[in-house]
Amino acid sequence: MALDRRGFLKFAAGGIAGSLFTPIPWKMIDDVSIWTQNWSWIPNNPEGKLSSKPSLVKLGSSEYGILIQTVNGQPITASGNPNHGLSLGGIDPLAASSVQLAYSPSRIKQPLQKDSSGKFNPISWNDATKLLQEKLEPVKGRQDSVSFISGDETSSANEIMAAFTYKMGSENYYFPPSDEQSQLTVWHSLMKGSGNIGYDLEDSDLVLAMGANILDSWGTVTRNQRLFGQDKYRLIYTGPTQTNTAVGANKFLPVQSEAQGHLALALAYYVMQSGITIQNIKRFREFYNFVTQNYDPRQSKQKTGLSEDTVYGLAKELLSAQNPLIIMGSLKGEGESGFPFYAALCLNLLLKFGNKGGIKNLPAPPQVLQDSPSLQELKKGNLYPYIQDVANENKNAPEILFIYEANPIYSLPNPALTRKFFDKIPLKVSFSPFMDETAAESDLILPTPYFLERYDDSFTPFGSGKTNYSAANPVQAPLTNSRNTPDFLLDLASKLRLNINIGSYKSLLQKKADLLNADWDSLIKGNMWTKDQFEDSGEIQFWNKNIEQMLVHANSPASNDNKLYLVPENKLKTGTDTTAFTPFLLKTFHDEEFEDNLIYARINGKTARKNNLRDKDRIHLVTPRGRCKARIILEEDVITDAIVVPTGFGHTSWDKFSRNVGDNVNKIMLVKKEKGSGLIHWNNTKVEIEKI
Amino acid sequence: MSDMKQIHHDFEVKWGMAIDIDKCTGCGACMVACQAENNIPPAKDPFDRLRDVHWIYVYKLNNGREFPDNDVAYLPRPCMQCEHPTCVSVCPVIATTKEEEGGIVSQIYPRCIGCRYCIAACPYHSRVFNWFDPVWPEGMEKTLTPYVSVRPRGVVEKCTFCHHRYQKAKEEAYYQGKNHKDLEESAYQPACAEACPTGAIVFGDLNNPKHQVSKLAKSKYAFRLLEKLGTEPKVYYLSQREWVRRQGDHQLEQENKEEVKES
Repeated sequence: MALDRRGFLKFAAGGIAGSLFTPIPWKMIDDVSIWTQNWSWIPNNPEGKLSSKPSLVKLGSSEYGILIQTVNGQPITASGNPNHGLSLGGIDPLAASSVQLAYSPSRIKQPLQKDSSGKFNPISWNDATKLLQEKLEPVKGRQDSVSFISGDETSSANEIMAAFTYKMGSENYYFPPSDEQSQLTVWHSLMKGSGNIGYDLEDSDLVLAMGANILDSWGTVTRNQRLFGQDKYRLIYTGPTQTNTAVGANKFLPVQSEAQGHLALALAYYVMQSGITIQNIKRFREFYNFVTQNYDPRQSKQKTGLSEDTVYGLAKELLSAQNPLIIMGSLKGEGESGFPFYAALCLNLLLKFGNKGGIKNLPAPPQVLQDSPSLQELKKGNLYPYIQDVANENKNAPEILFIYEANPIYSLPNPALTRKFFDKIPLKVSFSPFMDETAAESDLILPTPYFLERYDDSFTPFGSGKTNYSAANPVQAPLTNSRNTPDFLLDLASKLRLNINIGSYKSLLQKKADLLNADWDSLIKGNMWTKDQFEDSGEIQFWNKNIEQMLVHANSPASNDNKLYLVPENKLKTGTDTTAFTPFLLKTFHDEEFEDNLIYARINGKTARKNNLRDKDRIHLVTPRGRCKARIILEEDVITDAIVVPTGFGHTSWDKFSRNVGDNVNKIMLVKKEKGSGLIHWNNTKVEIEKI
Repeated sequence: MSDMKQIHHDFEVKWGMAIDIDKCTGCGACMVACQAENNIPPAKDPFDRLRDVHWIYVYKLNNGREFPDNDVAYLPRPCMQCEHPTCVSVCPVIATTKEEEGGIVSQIYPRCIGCRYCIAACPYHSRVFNWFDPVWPEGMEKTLTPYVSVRPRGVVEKCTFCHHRYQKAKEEAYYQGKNHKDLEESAYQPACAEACPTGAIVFGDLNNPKHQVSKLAKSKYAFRLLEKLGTEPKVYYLSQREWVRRQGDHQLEQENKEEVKES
């Protein structure tokens, strides 16, 4: 049969029509498009049973319960735990990336020992134990045998670690500096109070946050945010820049960091003028006289930079609130002097104490190991002066330094001094899950499991309003060859015949729950135990010789120079002292925070004009301690004569996401000793600016 | 505009958001939760912001005044899931559609040919292009979720209001014999809304009077981004600050202030 022209056209038309009606070509195109995107190097999604496990976040910020979603037991994401009183269903950005952080390239895979060339080589747990046994046996009982730095203030691991230290004959047990520690020094040593300060946000209707970045990094962050979001309290923020807390606050008043204490006493002036006094406090009259003589409206304006009407208006708001609460803190969460804490404590006590709202006096945790020093005692240790004394040979260096989840080489001011301190110590042992700066400078690294891989607990984290206790089971098996540090130390203690009377860390946690009458099963299901349990504050003093000395010093005229106030600003998205920012957090940085591997230093236009600086200028912030590289950005949310620099950058260790990104502002902080309180502080450092 | 209206469907359920800018502290928890949930990989080069992938981004706003009159706010920006999406009409391969009940603008990765017309058309910068194949540090790929397939190089992606959570909520409703068009507010929440620690992001059905979002969208402080373009976004923002609302519609100084709701 011949195919004529008409036949051909019929066939072609039929073919086209047919191909339009059959699904085959469409299916083929669809398949081709799918398969062109299905390559062996593109990871596949997991399949399996979805479930959720509770955990307790431990990343150097406040501890609270979170939920970990899993597929066939493999953790995939983290979310807030609605049943946990410090999460209330919320989660912070650092904790939200905690599941992925477990796989950070900076995880330490096995115990490591540094050789003479400075290179780390694998060592077995048995050999590491033997090595420590050999080193520790001859120095047992000596006061300078060992020292311990613990980066976790709420864990019961401290009981075992402190018992080990004390039974070795040493009392050198320290926590890194924090606002909590500075405030407790003021509360206990200066004001003769007892217990711990609690912040009853749940029952406060007005919160005045003075510097404390309560909606981003201060205290029980997620609880603070959750309660704020539920309109439980009205928030006023005072500080040198519009922090994340100031952005959320109902009102923001710009105040230099060093003027926060003055503002608190200026408010105390109005409060006392309204007729409020405290009868049962000794020498209250002297405090009253001092404030009356030094904080009248004219002086307050000069000392705080706020107008008379503004201070008066703020005082009126505090006085008209049912349950006001003042939260004093630093933008960095550490390095503050005692004066602002003292002033805020006095103002809180004048406004409210012991009833609903305001500050509370919370008890210390119960002890399972009765012959171990109490946490309250341990918190009295002050790390920086100890480092200073050892580095300057005013104290004997320990034979062995243990560091548990702390990173003093990175986080303390004056890293040269910390390095000098390290150089004096023959053996430094790091218990860190990550290769942080301190682990990298240690001689022996004995990795502790990541928080998702271990039993742990937390007793009343700083910022809580009530006594509380949380505990968690491991969510996943250890990803590395690690051992839980308390259990390792129990093993080592038994080899050294140091009698620490507990079988394992887990049993210690269960005994602690028993002491609190808390249900262990409920705790590990993610529920927080809590109790309205308050302690007698003791005979609080508003006035004594040391307080007078501190106040006189704080009121002495400031030196008049052209330097700028350095404001180090800590945000959880740039990590904490113990945890560098994660790959996911890196994406949250704004262009105004970080660009071209340079951190942005924020100043306002007036400051720029005074210092002949322009937007995008590359600069060095200079102090006698050193230089910090940055780039100027003009932002008008910063007070005049201040320069705001983000913390959390300039890591020299960790992983490729956080290493060598920006510069570390900690290294240029100037350390001073406050008269009266004796507190070491570095938050009011002034800097010169040099253009590059 | 008439073209856009042709592809508009009237849905019984309209998923939307109300973001209270006055409550947003810019912490970034929403961004992190979104990355983890939707298998967004770490940046190949953290310094190359133009080629970074994110489905929600938190912008910093400023009222432009000098200290001490300056004011700052943060604006989280997911996909607006527009009623009249400009991206849908320009897609040559129907890789992005708006057909399903709920009004979520879909993104079908295997169909995407990477032409990026949709990126050019979206006035909200909500769409991103994968310039690189996704790479996780060794082992971190184990934390991939089963919810969203991993996208290769050459594909455009965007926020889907965590559509997989909607599917799950609907399936559960079917299983329990409930009406899948009348889901409870808590039955379906995207990862960003769930993570937001201050509760600034409120999510729900804009057509359901039982859902908080339907009331918030009618607040006198509510506004939408670039409303004058007529895309009818389903993400509402709330702020008691007039300057924030003005910036929301990209108002210039000389433009009529009456167009912005006064507080």
